[in-house]
Amino acid sequence: MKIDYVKLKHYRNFTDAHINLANKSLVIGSNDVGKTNMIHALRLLLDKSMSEADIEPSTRDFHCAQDSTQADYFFIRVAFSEVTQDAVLSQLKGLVSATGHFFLEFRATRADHSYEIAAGHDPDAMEVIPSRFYLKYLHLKYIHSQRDLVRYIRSEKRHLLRLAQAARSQAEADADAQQLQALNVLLESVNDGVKNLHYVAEATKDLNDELRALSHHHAGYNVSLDTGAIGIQQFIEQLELGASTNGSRVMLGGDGRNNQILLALWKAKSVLEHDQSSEVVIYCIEEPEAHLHPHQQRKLASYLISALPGQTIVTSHSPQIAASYRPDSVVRLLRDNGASRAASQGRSDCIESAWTGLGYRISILPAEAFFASAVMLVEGPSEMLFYAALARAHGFDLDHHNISLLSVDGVAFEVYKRVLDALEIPWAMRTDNDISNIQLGPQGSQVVWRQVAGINRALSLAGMPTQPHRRTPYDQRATLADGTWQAVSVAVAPYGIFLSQIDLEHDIATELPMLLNGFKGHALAQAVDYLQGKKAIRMHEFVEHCGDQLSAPAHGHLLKPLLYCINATAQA
Amino acid sequence: MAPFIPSAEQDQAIQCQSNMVIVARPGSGKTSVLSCKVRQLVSELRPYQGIIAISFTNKASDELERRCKADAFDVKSSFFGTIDDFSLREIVFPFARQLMPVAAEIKTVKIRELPESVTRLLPVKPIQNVIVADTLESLPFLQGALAQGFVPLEAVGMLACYIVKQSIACQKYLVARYRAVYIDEYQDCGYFQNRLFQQLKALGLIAVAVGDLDQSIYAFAHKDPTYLRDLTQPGSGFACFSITTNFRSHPSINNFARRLLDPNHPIVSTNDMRVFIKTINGDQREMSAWLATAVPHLMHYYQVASADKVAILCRHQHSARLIADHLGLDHHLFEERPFQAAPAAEASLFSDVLRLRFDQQLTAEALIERSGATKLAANERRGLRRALST
Repeated sequence: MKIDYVKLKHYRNFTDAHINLANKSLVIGSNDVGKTNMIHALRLLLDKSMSEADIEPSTRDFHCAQDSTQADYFFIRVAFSEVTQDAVLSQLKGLVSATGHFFLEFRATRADHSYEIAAGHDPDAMEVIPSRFYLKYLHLKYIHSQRDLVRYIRSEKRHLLRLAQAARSQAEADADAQQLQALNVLLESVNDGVKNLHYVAEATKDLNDELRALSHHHAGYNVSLDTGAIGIQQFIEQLELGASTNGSRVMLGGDGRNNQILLALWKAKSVLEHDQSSEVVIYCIEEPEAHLHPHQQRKLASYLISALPGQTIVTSHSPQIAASYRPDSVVRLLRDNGASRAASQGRSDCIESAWTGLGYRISILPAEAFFASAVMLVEGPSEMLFYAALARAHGFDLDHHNISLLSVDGVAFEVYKRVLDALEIPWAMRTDNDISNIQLGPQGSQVVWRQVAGINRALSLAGMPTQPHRRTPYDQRATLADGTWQAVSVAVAPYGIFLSQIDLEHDIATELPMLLNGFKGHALAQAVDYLQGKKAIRMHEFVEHCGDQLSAPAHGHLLKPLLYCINATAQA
Repeated sequence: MAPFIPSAEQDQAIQCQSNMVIVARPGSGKTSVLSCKVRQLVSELRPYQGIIAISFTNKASDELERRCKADAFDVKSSFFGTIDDFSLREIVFPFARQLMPVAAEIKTVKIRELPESVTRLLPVKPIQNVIVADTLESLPFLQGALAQGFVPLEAVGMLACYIVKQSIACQKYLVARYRAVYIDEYQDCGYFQNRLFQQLKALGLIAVAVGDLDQSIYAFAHKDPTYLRDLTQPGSGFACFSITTNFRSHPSINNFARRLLDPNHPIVSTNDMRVFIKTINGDQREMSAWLATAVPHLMHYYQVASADKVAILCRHQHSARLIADHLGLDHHLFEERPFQAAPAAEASLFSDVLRLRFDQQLTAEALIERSGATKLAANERRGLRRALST
């Protein structure tokens, strides 16, 4: 059983959002876009720990539009599918359709803060129900890693102890009962011993004298200090969660480890309690990465994804965690005209095997792109270095704008485009105007043609028809001379696609000749060769060489992709 | 309650785990056997599962329910009630709206109480004689009634069978929740009720039918022991068990009852005869006169402590009234209840409320459950319970 989608109308940041969810979903989005609000909407309907008082609507829950008008009602719908578990079917009766679909709605009115909950097998056949009776067999377990570990442990340990007690075999329970009796006797003697310490007894002697002086009523009454545990049961309840390293007791842990302990405790308890044949539990975790080292973040993500039975919904700001998810399970929330919504309505089939084939190439950098407000795609490390420096030189603070520079490094631009389009992240790209040989014709009498690979790459990414092969000889300069480059550039520029005239190093020579000429004592042409000899390292040298002289012409081609990205983020 | 120790005959019936039919004589302990079987099965079930234990009258199903729940036994999510209750609460009310448009509020009514706009859709064949093949023709009528918020009582059986057949959601629900179905007094079964039982068996529930071929008394209501008889035939798919020993009645009475039905039935020898025939010259008045002396004499002879252990049974209502009028002894005359002529739903509600008022042992809870008002929130239920108790 899983949640297929959540629909939010006029609830907090959302005016009208439809959010599809996958079995293992990751929800991302900038701060304050409404990730927690979306989770809260789920919790209103599905979190057992929320009481009737907790789910009552308050004024803040009703969406405020940009023109300051406030909505009179809000509405949340959760759609479930694959409802096959007997425990849930037997409870929900006619509310589940023949195809295993089930819907829940929460409807609230601002006028009197009233609300009703409805359920049904189809959105057009909803019946109002008097209470969230389904929670017994279907509910959501929520945790936010920022919770106070100490407080959480205090409330959970008793629960954990009880669960463990119930899970014992009869033999173990009997052995424990015997041991408890023995411990009780021991405890009494410890208590007596402590009370008889001279300074312990003395501490209360004066107090007792005063009491007796106050009233005859206290004649036989004695106040004393003891361990406070009347029996072994209380003693056990007062156990504190401690830690030991190599056998020596230590403080519980720093924030990072505490986070891991918290989540491990929560997961252990949840899974222990979760009788999978009798109930359906959906797990919801907010920002599990808090305080954790990157490797631990990744580990935590894969742990949560694989160890929790059932659907999981995780919100995060961490690229490490994002990298553990299939791109089609990522839900990106964004702001659009003063309201929040999900890109492509949530999870989408934006990629096929193209991505899984690339699986082994995925590293941290691409995952960062999920969190950007705009992405600039470039060919390789030289471009990365150059453009990072260029942006700095022109005072474009890429981080401030949430812009990521991404090197595709041989992977097809097409794959990134598809993922970014699905996440509705604007992108710009700069690709080389490469032209290569291609042999066509029947065996034995093949002819060499010139394939305008770069130009065609740009055209197909823009969804335009590609250009035919040219006869040899044909090179980049020819494309410039015969107007091809110009025509294609103008056509694809509105899509954020920018074509080198030749390649980066040559283009730098064209637009920044003053800076390149004389670099390492080379004339322009040799300088280009030099740079291309060892791409990244030598580009780094060049950037150092330019220093604060680095500057590209304002209307030149080099700056265009950067300007496109900045413009895109300003529009959002 | 004294622990029930089954006889060999009863134990055989208890141990059988498959589909079965139990032919049970009066006083043979069939309700004890049934509740034993129910408790055994339910103890293995999860809390959200249960069994269906139904009969044709409230009296029979109430007794079975009482026995199963004795000593606070946890019956989990089992259903107890009449077969019509079951059809309405577990099949019609939850699932009808998945198959056809149904008004937001629906209630049960007798056909004669329906508006003309619905009754004109009735098929030619009278609803009592309809079989499953006629369902198609009856559909416009059923759909018309439901769309206006009515469930015709006489058509509940047909409607339930139709929904179970057509609604996959309903089938999945029944299988998810119920492991077995037990029907008591199967000799009173009607056509569609038998079909429903067979449908439940086909879905995989263990099916157990209990009845007495000799006790079928509702022929006027189109009930027929033929369905019970069919189950006892070889090849029916049901294992047949008989429990015949009458633990309740004296052997002489047993002998008399059995000889009534079968002149050649073997009798158990006994020296203590408790069945007599007295012929009286005259009519009910003379009978009253004789009874006025005979009853105290017999009470003294058989050491019957109080008069409320003595019953005078008559074939006809008017005979009873005549005898009662002339009897002279303190008596209570049971007559037809005044609500027979009233609309069904209201009549049984009034009747139930009156019983609640006068029977100390009943609680409002059973009444609330039976009325189907289970969808009320906790505080509404409390209010209802309080109102009923005052």
